[in-house]
Formats: sequence, structure tokens, C-alpha cells
Amino acid sequence: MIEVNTVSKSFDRTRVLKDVSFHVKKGSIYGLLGSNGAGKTTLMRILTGILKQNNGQVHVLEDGVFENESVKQRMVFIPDSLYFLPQYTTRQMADYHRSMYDSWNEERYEKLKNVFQLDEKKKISQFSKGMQRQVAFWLAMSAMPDVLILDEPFDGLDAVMRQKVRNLIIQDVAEREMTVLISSHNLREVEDICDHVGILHKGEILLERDLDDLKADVHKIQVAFNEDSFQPEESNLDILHKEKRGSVWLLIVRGNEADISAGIKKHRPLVYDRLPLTLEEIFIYEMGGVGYAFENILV
Amino acid sequence: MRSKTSSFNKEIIKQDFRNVGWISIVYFLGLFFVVPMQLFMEFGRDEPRITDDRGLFGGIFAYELQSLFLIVMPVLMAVFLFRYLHVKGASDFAHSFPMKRGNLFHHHILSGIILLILPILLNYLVLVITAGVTDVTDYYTIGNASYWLWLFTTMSLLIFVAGVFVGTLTGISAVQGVLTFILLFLPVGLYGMIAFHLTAYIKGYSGDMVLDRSLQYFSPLVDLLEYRSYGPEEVSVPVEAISLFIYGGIAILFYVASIWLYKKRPLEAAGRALAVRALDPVFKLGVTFCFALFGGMYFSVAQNTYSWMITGYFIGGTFGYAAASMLLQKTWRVFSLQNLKGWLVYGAAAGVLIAAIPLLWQNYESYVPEQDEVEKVYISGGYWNYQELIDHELDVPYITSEEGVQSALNLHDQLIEVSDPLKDGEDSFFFVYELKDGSEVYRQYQLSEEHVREEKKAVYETKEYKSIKYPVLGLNSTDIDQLLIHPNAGPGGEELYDPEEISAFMEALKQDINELSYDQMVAPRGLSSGVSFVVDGERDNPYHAQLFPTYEHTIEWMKQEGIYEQMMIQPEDIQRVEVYEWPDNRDYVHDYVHYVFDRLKEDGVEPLEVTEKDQVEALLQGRENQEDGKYIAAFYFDERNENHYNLLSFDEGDAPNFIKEHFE
Repeated sequence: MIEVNTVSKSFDRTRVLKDVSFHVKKGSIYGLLGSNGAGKTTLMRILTGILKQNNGQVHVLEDGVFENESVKQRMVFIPDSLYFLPQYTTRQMADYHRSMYDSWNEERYEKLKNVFQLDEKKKISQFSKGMQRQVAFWLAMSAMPDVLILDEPFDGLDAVMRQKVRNLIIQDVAEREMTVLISSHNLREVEDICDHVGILHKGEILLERDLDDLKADVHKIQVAFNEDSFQPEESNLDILHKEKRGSVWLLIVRGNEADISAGIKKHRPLVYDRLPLTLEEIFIYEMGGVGYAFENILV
Repeated sequence: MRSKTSSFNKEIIKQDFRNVGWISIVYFLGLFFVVPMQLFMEFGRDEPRITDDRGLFGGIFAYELQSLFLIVMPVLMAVFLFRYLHVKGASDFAHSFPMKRGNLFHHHILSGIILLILPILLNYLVLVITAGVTDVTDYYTIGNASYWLWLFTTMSLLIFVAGVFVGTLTGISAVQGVLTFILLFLPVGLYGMIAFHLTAYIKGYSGDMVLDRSLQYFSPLVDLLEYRSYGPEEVSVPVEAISLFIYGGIAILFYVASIWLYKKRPLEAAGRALAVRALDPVFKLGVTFCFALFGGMYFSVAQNTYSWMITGYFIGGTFGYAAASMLLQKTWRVFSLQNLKGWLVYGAAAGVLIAAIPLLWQNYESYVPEQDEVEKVYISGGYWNYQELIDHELDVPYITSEEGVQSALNLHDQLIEVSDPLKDGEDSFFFVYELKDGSEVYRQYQLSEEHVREEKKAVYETKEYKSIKYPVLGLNSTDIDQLLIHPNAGPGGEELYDPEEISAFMEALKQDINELSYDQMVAPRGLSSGVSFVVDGERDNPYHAQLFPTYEHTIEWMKQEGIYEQMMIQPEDIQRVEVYEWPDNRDYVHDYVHYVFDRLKEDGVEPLEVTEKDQVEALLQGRENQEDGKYIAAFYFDERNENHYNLLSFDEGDAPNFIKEHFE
């Protein structure tokens, strides 16, 4: 659905993106994570055909994006700093969008009016930041896009609105197989909505993961043994992190759950607990293994 | 997938109208109050003002104000309409929609064109309807109004697309506004500066003529602003039809260039001075070059030497380079090592360009036509004498005889030999050759007379040259309605109306002029009287003559008529003469005799006072309006009026002995 191959982009002499490659499957929600200045916004501006990459290919819906009307017809972008035409009301903006998108759904627009409870006759500039973001979602969702690209979308929304917007997105993904790309600098913000994440750091993709796989793949266990017979290095486990407190071992292990418990049980543990693991921890341990100070990237 | 039914999007046009409609309204109101409203108010006047055939471009419709709107509003339109290109958020917004850049651009251009033409068209309709309802023939005709419509439409669109072109080139709206005006003036500025520099480097190059003749064709704005809505010139429209066609063509070129650039320009250029990186060096070099030229001109106006000019190039170029770097990098802090290198490179490049300009004119400098190529030649003291004849649609008196042409060529040869384009001299020469193949050659020189005395004398003594120097020779006495003779100093004067008297006077005058020797031509002696003419009811004409005491036939005629004593200054008219020595030090700002005399008076220098009639008569042999000499004689006519005097001067050689003795 979205295919990015070895894309590079420079502004003047500064390289912003270096050989970025990733792909997003149809009907999935992809989280693009990265600290400030990682190149997320630039990547999204390329994906939406605003900027042109220096190298590489960007394919959305099996076709190049830049100056391609038919692809852009099916794609909506909500930038991080919102822009509305000066002095326009929501209704006027809706007319503007309707004239641009063939797939504009007026019924949907009317329905969403009830969800957001905003006055469509009021000038958008008079709305608060959070309300303006709701207007942006309102307009975007009414255009019924096949691909939705959101740059820092939850910025400024309160918890209730956040939940509403999230539900709207998930509903469209479930019903129409809409594809969503969300960028964020905060993992917690997107972990309960995305099914895939990619981490962009200093213009490069560090890693890409399927979150379900990841959660099923990395485990935090607490074990204690009778005698000091257990040597982590000698076990066949793929241990990402180990810690010993007294006689209790705290291990982060990668692998199939059944294999791990079988491997541990061999040593006849006195205690064997599986503890919950947050996505953030998974990343920290995962990346810690590759040698990056992950905390600094995603705060 | 549904496809778009039409690529036309009404909402964009609507948004443009909301956004920049006010400019259109201001344009409409501006023109309305200056043109139709003035007309309505004119109807209400008891005594209508005098109108001329300029119609809507005339004085009562304040063309100057009209042209102000015409120049400012289209640029505003271009700036505000394409403001979205220069603001990151707006630019991302506009370009994230499913619409190709070319299409988007066309929508905005269309809005701009509609919004600019509408105010002009509405005013035109008001004028046409008014013309249908009432009689407006005193003020304008439908043809005149239609030309007005055409001119305003074409010029508005030209200035608008020039603004759009600059808008696609830059990423800052303020820069767009300023650069648009610079672009529209640039050709004139460059042309003028290059002409100025050529005058300083190339012998014979007439900057005066080049600038006066063709300057307006290099800028639509100068073309518009140069026009006067009053005065005697017979130009009835600010921009001629042929120019309007050319401007229309240029507008199309600007449009094509803009759309090409719009598609090419990277959107991240919003906020950058120049959108296209590749143009940075061109821009830098251009600014450095222009400022260097300007610096050179500035310093050479004050100090006419090559060393000052080079200093000017250096200072101007450095300033230009720094300014261009500041604008491109958007910072004051441009004093880095990298920029220092750039300064050397661009400075050298600009220097090469400046040095190359005169080289292109190498052949120009040494070119003298062959005798057998020349059809005829005109020589005068300057371009303006020539242009005056052209302006008054008079026949230019050419030298056509073989000896005459040869003498002119000889003078020309000698001028090339001895003149120096940087040095001013009191004597200047302007040549117009008309060659047998129909082409024209113009040259202008300035130098001191002594270098070319022989050659100049040969030219001056041809009969044909006298017709040039004394246009009055070409004046038929039957065309003269009235003739006025008046002493340049002192009171009095006589008007002649009788055709017979006029005819007799003219005959004598022409005979005197034809008999003048070279010396009498270049250095006439005595206090002169002026003769001016009313020809065909016009006072403003190039026929004026000076009458010197040496013009024997004329003097004789005046004596017969009994008007001699009134017409020419007599020794008896002079109450006293003060004689000063012309100071040796030449520290004065000016050299001309009146200036020097004023300084001497201020300094309280004690003069020699002469009242004796013989001595006064001897002093009347001095020369007028010299810039060099040994003695100055001031003639006073009335004891009570110290401010009424006339000056003559003497060289060492020609001064009467009694003053030489006095000052020894």
C-alpha cells in the first residue's frame, strides 16, 4: 500500500533522510516513531507528494505520488502544524475539500458533526488548538481516504477526544481497510492503536516491527533456583537482559513462550513468574542489544 | 475509482476572490475617482477647463495618479495571490490536494487576470455608457477610451505576470515586491549605467544620445512614467500601439517562464530568498556587477579619473557582494572565510565583465567612414542642438559637398587622435553621418579646442557648416511674423513687424554671417544684442541669433533705419568700466567669467576704473562668456544700479595696452 524504497532527501547541504525504506500493508496502522528532528515530517511531506525526494521511490497505492492526482485523490494528510484558509469557517473548508476530493461524503460530514459538536458556522481561527485539530479530523474523515497520513495527530487533544478520534480511525480501518500512517515522538501515545511501528532516527530507519509479534516474542521472567546451577550464558535462551537480585534472576528473553518455559523448567526453578512488559521496555531492551540508548530517542 | 469531472475548481477562484478581492476593489475605486468621477464633476463646472487631444491620458484625468494605480496594484495582486507559495503551512496545504501544480497555478493566474481586468473594464463601461448618454467629445472619444482600456489591460497584465514570475523565483513575499520593481527597472538602470561607462571609456560614444533616444524602451515603467499629461509635446498616448504589442508578447514570455519555474521549484523554498539554488551565483554576480558599475559611476561623477572609478568599482562591488550574501543567507553575519573567497571570485568575475564591456566597442572607437560611403554629415556642438531640430520637425542642415565632408572626416580623424573620453573640454563636437547604405553613425567628442584648431577651422569655414551653426540662415524672411532685437545688456529693444523691414534686416544678417571668419565665429568680440523670431505664431523655436558690432551690413542697415543706437550698446551708454585681473590660481569651483567676477567682488579686490570714452571703446573689444583669460572688464550702465552690468574678458595678447600697463 505504501512502499518507500531507499529514499533520500537533503535541504541545501543537510541530509534529512538517508536511504529510508519501509512499507505499510493495506489496512494496517503504522506508527512512525522518532525524536524531534528525526525527519518524520519531511518523510510525510514526501509521502503526500508535497516534496520530491532526491533519490529512491515512493509508491502509494502501487503508483508514484508526486504530481499524481489519482493517488492523491485517495489520500489525506493532516500536518502537525495545522493550516486552514484564512477567515474560513468549517462549512467553507468543507466545501473547499468537497471540491477537491471526488470521494467526499457529505453524509459522513453531517454524522461527524454530532461526534465533534462544533459550530460549523464559526471561523476556525477562533477555535482553540484542540478544536482545530478536531476540525482537521472531521474534514479528513469526511473525504473517505484510502490512505490517511497523520503527523503528530494527538497533539492538543484531551483524553476524551483522543479516544473518539482513535475509535473513528479504527472503525474506518476495520470497515474499509483504510491504511493509516501515524508519526509520533511518543511511543505510549501510539502503542494501543498501531499494529506496526518503525523507528526513524537521524534520517534512518533503525528498525521495523510488528507489535503483536513483538509482544509475543519478548518476555520478562523472574526465576529462582535451588542451587547456583543456573548459568545464563550456558542456557540456550536468547537473553536480551539479565539482572540478579539475591538468588532471584530477572531475565528478558526473546523467543517462543513454550520454548522458554521448557528451557527454564529443565533447571527445576523454585520460582518461575512471567511479568508484564510494556512496549517501551521491549524497545529499550531490543535496541539496547543493538547498542543504542533508546530512552534518549523516545521521550 | 471515480474520476474528476472537470479540472476546473470553483472553490479556488472563490478563495482567491475572498483573499485578494480587496485589491480589485481598491483598483476600481482608484480609477473610478480619478477618471469617470472627474468627468462627472467636470460636467458640473460653470467654466470647463481647457482640454487637449490627450483625452483620458490628459491633465484633467490626472494621468500621473492613474499610472500610480496601474503600477502598484498589479504588483500587490501578484504578491498577495502567490503569498501562499512563501508560507510553509499554506504551501503544504495547497499542494497536498489532488491537483497538479500547473492546474493550481492556472487557477490563481485566472483569478488574478479577472480581478485586474474587471476594475478597468467596469470603468471603461461607465465611460462608454456616459458617452452614449451625453456629449463627451470635449473630453474623450470612444476610440480614446478603448485605447485606454487596451493600454491599462496590457500594462496591468504585464506588470502582474512579471510579479508572478518573480514570485515563483523567490520564497519571500517582501523580496518578491521589491525584486519585481527592480526587474522592471533593471534594464533601464543597466543600460544607463553601461552607457555612462562607455562614455567614459570609448572615444566618440554619445551617452546623451543613446539615453535620450532609447531609454524608455528598456522599461515599461519608465515608458509609462515618462509621459506628461500636459505641456507642448505632441504625444497623445503614454505607450504606443507597437509597444503595447511588444509588452503583450513579453507578458506571455513571463507567463511561460513562470509556469515552468512553478513546476520546477521545490516547495521547501518557502522562506528562502531565491527558490532555485542554481540561481544563487547568478544573483550574486549580478548584484556585485551592478553595484560595482554604480560605484564606479558615483565616484567618476565627482572625480573624473580612472583611479577613482576603479575605487568606485571596488567599493560598490564589495557592498553589492555583501548585500547579496546577506539576502541569500538571511543574516547580517556574512563575514566568514568562505565568503571572503566568494568575494574574491565574484569580484574578479565582475571586474572581468566590466573590463570586457569597452572591448566590445573596440571597432567603434576607431571607426571613421570613408569619404565615398558618406551621403551627408551633420556637425554641431552637441546632441541637444541636433535633437532640438528633430523635435521641432525642422530640416537638419547637412554638409553634403565633397570638400565639406572631407573636412568633417579630417576633423573626426583628428578628434580620435587627440581626445580623451574622461577629460572634459570646453569644446564639444557631435557628428551624425548618414551613409549611402542608409545607416546612420553618431559620435560625440569633448576636448580643448587648441588640439583640433586647424581641422575645426576647415569645417567652420564651409558654407554648409554655417547653416548648422546659425540655424537662422535657413529661415525664410517670409515666414517671420515678428522680429525682436534687444541688447543683451542694458535696456531697450525694438520689434519689427513690417515684412519689408524684416526682409531687409534678414538679408543683411545672413550676409554678415556668411562672411564671418573662423575667428569671428569662435570668438566674437563686443557686447552683443539678441535677435529672436516669432515664426508661424510660435515663439518657441531654434532660430535665435546674436548680433555683434562686427556685423557690418546689419549695423549699416540699422543705422539707416535709425535704430542702431537703441539696438546696440554704445560707449555713451556705459557709465563706467571696472577692470580686474583674472586670478592665476584656479581654485574656484567654476571657471566661467561671471562666477569668477562674483568671487573677486566678494573678496573686495580693488579694480581699475575706466570712464574715458576711448578706453571704454577699446574695452568693448573683449569677448563674452569665456572660461579663461587674463583680464575681466565689467561694464556698468547706470550709477544707481550696481547689479546691472555686463562682462567681457581679454587674453594676455588681445588686451588693450593701458590695462596691461596698469596691472604690471
